[in-house]
This record gives sequence, C-alpha cells and structure tokens, in this order.
Amino acid sequence: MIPPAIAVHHLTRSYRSHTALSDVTLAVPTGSVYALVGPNGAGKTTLIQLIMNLRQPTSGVAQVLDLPASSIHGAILNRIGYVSENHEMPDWMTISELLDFLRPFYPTWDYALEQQLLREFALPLDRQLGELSRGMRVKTAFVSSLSYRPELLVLDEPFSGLDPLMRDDLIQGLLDRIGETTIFLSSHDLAEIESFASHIGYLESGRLLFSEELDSLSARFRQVRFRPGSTVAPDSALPPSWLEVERSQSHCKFRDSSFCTPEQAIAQIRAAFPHASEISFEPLSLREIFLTQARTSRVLRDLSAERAAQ
Amino acid sequence: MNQSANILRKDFNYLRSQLLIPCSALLLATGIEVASRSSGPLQLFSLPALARGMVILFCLSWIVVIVNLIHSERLVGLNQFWTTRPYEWPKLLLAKCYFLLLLLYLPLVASQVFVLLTVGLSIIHSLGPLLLNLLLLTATIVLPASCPAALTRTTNQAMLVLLGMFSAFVAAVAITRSVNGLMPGWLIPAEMVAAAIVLGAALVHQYRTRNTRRSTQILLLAPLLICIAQSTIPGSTLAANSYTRVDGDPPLSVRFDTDPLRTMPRITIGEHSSRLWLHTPLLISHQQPGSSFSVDAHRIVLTAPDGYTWSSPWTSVSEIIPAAAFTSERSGDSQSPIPLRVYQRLGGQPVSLRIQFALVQFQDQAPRFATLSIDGANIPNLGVCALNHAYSQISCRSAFRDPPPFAISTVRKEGPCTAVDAPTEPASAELGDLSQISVIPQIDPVIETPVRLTLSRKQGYLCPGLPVQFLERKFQRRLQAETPPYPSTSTTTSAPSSFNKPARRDKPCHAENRAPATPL
Repeated sequence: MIPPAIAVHHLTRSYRSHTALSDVTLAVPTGSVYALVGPNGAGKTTLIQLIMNLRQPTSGVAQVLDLPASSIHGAILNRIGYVSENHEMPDWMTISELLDFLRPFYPTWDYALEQQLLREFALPLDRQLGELSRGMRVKTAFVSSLSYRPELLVLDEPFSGLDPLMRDDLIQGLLDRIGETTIFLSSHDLAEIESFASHIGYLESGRLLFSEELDSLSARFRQVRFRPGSTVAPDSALPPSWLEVERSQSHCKFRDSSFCTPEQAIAQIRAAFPHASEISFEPLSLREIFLTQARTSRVLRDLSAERAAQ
Repeated sequence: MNQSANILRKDFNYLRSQLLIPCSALLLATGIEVASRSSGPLQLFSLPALARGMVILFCLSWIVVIVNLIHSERLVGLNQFWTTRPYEWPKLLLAKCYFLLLLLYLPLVASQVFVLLTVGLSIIHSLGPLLLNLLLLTATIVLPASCPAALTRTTNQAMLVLLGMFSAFVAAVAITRSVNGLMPGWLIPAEMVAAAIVLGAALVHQYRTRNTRRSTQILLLAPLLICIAQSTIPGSTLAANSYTRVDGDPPLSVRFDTDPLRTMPRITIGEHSSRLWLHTPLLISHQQPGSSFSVDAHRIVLTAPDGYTWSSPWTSVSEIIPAAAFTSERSGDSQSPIPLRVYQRLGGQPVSLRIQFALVQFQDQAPRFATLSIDGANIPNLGVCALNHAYSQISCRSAFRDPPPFAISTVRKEGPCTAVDAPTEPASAELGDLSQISVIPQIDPVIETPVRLTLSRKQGYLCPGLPVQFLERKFQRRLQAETPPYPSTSTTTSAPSSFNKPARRDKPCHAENRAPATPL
C-alpha cells in the first residue's frame, strides 16, 4: 500500500490564547491534487507551514513523504517543491541568475524541463526579480520549483491576485505535472480548483470540517427543491444536514450535505413533509458548496455566541 | 558544485559593490601607512589622520557588509526563499565563514604583512601577534556584527541592536573602571573570551534551529555573564592577591621621607569633591642589583587608636610614582584620596598611616648595542628603533602591541652632527610597560612609540652613528611592598599624627603639619 504523501494526525497550533489550528487530521493520497479551502484566517497557511517544518506544532504530528515533518530540511527538500504567495525572493537576482544559483542544489534538476517552462511562461531571463510583476514572480517560483521534478508540490495561495490569463498558464503548468507529482495547495480560487483538484479539505476557524474526494463531495452536496404541501414541520424537526433552508407555503429549498442516495433523501423529506411533491435535485458547484459551508458555519457560530451571551 | 561555494559565489555577486568601500579604505589606509613611514622629511602631518579615518571607514563598512551578508539568507521569519530549499545549515554557515575569510581576513592580513615588511619588522616574529589580532577582530567586530544580524530582519534593526550592545559594553567598562581600581590582567580577556563563546553559540544555534527567541536568550547570557562577573568577582582583591608578599628582606624598600628640607606631608581638598587628598613624600630604594620595579597600584591604610582601621581601595597608579621602572633611591609623592566621611570619623584623632604597593619586578637582560640610524636597528622583542630625519627623536616600531619594558640609553652631541669633536652627554629613557593585555584589534599593524629621552640640556643632537644601548627588562614577578607605619609604632617617642579638619573646603589648603611631631 502506498503511504499518503502527507498524513496529519491531530495537529494543533496555538499562539498564547489563540488557536490557529485545532486537532486537524487529514491524508493527502500520493498522486492526488489536494485543495485546502477555507475563508481568510481559517488556518490554511499555518497548516502548510507546519507541514513544511517552518513552524512547530503545539501538539500532534505530521508526516510528509513518509517522514516526520520535523525532519524536513536540507536534502529532503530535493523532493518537495514549495511556492507561497508571500515568498520573499532575492530581488537583486535576475531570473537567469536565480535558476543558475538553484540548479546545483538539486541533483534531479531537469534543464530541458526548465527551458520548456520558461518558454511556456514567457519569462524574461535578464529581468531582476524585484522588477517583475506579481504574476511573473509566481511563474518564476513555479519554474524554480517544478524543474527538479519534486515528488510533492506544496502551494500556498498560488493564484491569489493573478489575472485569469496568468492563472490559466499556471494551472496548465500544474495539469502537466499531475500524475508524477502530488500537489497540495491552498486557495480561494474555487472555480479553478474544481477543474483539476481530486481532493478537497475545508478548513474553518482552525478546524477541518471535511476532507474528501471532490467527486464524493459533489455527490453529497446538492440543492433540493420541493412543494411542502399542507404540513408545516417545525425547524427543529429538520435534519441537521439540510443547510440554508428557505421555506414558504408553496415552496421549499435547501442544500443537502448528507452523503445519501436520492431515494434516501426523498425518504428524509417525506419524514418531515409527508405531503411533499415535485422533489428535484440539482448539483452544486464547488463555489456554492464553499459558500454554503461558510455561511452555515457563521450562523452556527453566531448562534453559539448568542447562547453563550445569554 | 559544492553548496558552500555556490552560496559564496552568490554572496560575492550580491555584495561586490558594497565590498568596494572596505577594500578601497583598506587599500588607501595601507598606501598612506606605507607612504607616511617612508616619505622621510617631507611627511604630511595630515596623513596619519587620514589613515585613521580610513581605518574607521574600513571597520564601519565591514560591519555593514557582514550584516548584509547574514541577511542575504535571513534567519528570522518564515517566508525566505531559502528556507524551503535544500540548504544544509553547516554549509550555509561555512559559506559565510569562507566569505569573511577570503574577503575580510585575507586582504587585511595581506595589507598588514605588506606594511610590516615595509617598515622592516620580522613577519616570523609577528606571526603570533598577527593571529591573536585576527582572533580579537573576530571577537570584537565580526561576532558582535554577525549576531544582531542573525537575530533581526532588517539592517536598521541590526544596527540598532549593535549600537545598544556597544553602549552597554561602554557602560560596563566605565562602571568596571570606576569600581575596580586594580583589575587582574586576565579578567577582561577572560570576559571577552566568554562573551565571544556566547555570541558564537547564539549564532550557531540560530543557524541550526532558526529559533530566534531561544538564540536571543543565549545572546543575552553574554551581558548577564559579564555583569555577574563584574559584580561577584572581587577584581581588586583577586588582583592584589596575585602580588605576593615578600617575607624577609624585601627587594624594594619604600618609606616615608621625613626630611624636613624636602616636601612635607599635606592634605588638600579637591574642588567640588567629597574627598580629601593626602600627599605624603616617600623615599624608595631597592636592594637587588639587576632588578627594577614598576608600581601598578597602591592603597593607604589608616588606623586610629580606638582600633578603627580604614583601607582605601586599590588604586591604579598614575602619578604616585611614575609608572616607569625605577632603579635607585629616589623621592616620590603619594597622593591618596580619603573620603570625607572617613576623615570626619578620624578627625582630631592621632592615626597611624601605612601605604601598600602592588609592584612588578623586572630582571634586566643582557644589553644590546646598536648605533643610531635613520634606517633603524632591529631589536629582538622590541622592534625597529630608528632616528627621525630631523635627528631630533628616536621612535620604536613594534608589531600589533606596545613595546615591552626596555631601558634605552644613548649619548647626544652638544654640537651639530658634522662637528666631529663635539662633546657628548648621556641621555636615557624608559620604554613600555606591562599594562593590561590590549583587547582592541589593530588594523594598522605598526605601533610607533616615541622614545622620550631625559636630557640635562635642551639643545643637543642625536646623530647617526652614535651608540645606543637597549636593555630589556623581563618580567620576573608581582609582589607587594609596604611602608613602615607612620609614625613608626616602634618609636615610642614619636607623637602620633592626628587629623584636623581643614579650614576651607572649596580650595586646596596647606596643612603645615610637620611629621612626626605635628599633626597631619
């Protein structure tokens, strides 16, 4: 059995009174494209920094390429590529100088691939990094992180602030790597992720709310519409997997997050609304799933805050 | 390519423009140094000042280069590109060391060797001081500049920390100097070694773990250690203990000069001061031929009839007896501070006074003879001593350190050097001392010490070809000497001295007290 490229067990990171990451457990299968999504401040960057051994966890363990994350330094980084939106580059260097400098560090550096990526990304070799646009800098980071064919590519918000053309270029570059490299990325750019991610993890307020294959997630989340009929069920009688419920006398709409077959879903509806009719199911986009999850979490948080205040 | 060499090449490319400043300053300082030593009678008096300016520029610009060198792979923060690249920390640290070795130490050593060769000093004999100087440079400039750089994000932050460290160091030295009049010679070098070890440990720890908080805690150990050492090590007592008491016949005798024809004891009050000064004439003689002595420190001990005894702290000597060695019976004058509160405690009472001395005994070595010349004579353990072009002064040049104790004697012509039959008169000088080991690194390797000849006449000529004798005084031991009590306790007829309050406090008063019959 192939071990996961990244395995995280009960990882927690606290800063004095603030818990940035709380008891996170996830596994990134080898060869997958795992997208970590979540609102700002959810703890995505913290999780990536813990995985990359840039920070130390308060508790829990992380394993990367079957090695403890704490041992990730030196030669092991020959097998891992890392691109971050906040990465500080040596601005005084030209792209050419940067690549010349980095090449000797990696025994597996593929010069032909480097040249190919440079052509694809149309990077000006003689320009200093400090003079480059944000998109150009990210592209340069990609070239310098892909050219040695890493087993694992960790990307922290790689597409943030890029124009669509740039994003397409980068995603194409990533798509070409799928299969030979495990990709673990955090992003807000759900539309793009949907096009190539195989696994999704959703992080909210430091907690991982779900982590599963994109296909199963798409199957689990759906929009359901029906006519409720004459019966009026109280809110408390509705299943907790029904999110963002909108009700009127003639019409009812909700987003179902339960992993069940349409027959099971119909049975659930009939249990709450015995006279329900015209039941229909529509798939949700990743963006809609993300928004639903985010809104629901916010509502639940507000509710619990209200209860605490009372 | 080797990782260290790769990083070194990158750092050189990054800092090559910044390196121009220290390299130019060093080149200019070396050129000025060589020119000022060899330009003969046409020396420009502003050149040494320019050379000193270049040395300061060299040091400051190197501090900036070191900070930028460390910051090119910044150790603080999480977003540096290199932290997720396969850097090995020992190789990274090694690359920085290579950089300093090749671009700081090597040019500096080359410049120093060149200057030493130019002035005729032996490289073989200077090798030890040269290496020691490099260690001092590491401990006082390289490590103190590297550590703040390793623990900060920006050059400004590093410079502020460096400035703070320098201020703390100056304050510590000032406090130490004011508290301890006499310091064991090893104390400051030992503290410096301890501080360098702590700085080095903080630096290596930061490179190994990038745990800035812990590395800063290690770094803070350095001033803490120094403060603890300064406050707990009884510097004066330890230092005094290293001067042994001589049983039996002392090699040196110091006693109070009771000859009324010479200066008499008196008390003065310093202006705006809470201290009185006790001036006591002394007679000094030594009884061992071939030996000479210098005084490092002294203290006074006052004893009242009621048993109250007050000992002053050991005070480094500057004027009590000239720090230079002395060889025959001569007069001296002790000026000892007494706090006003002690004076008031003793006021009106007869007191017994003793003065204790911390001395260094030297043994004269076989003299070396040479003749005065402009090219100079190379004297082992001293350096090159040469006559200046104006025939007015002899100067000795030594490598990296002040010359050790030497007695120099020569003759001076009463007429011009061209007058063959002009009568001559003897002239002599004492050179060097055994002061504390210098912990300041030298960029200019040549220490030039003028020989101040004692002469009976103002006019005279030091001519080339005249004989000159160099007598090395080799350190033999440290010892303590003590005057007999004043007035002598064994002389029952002597009336004890007593302290009377001086009439005025705002200016020196003349205590016409005549020993031993009159009160002090």
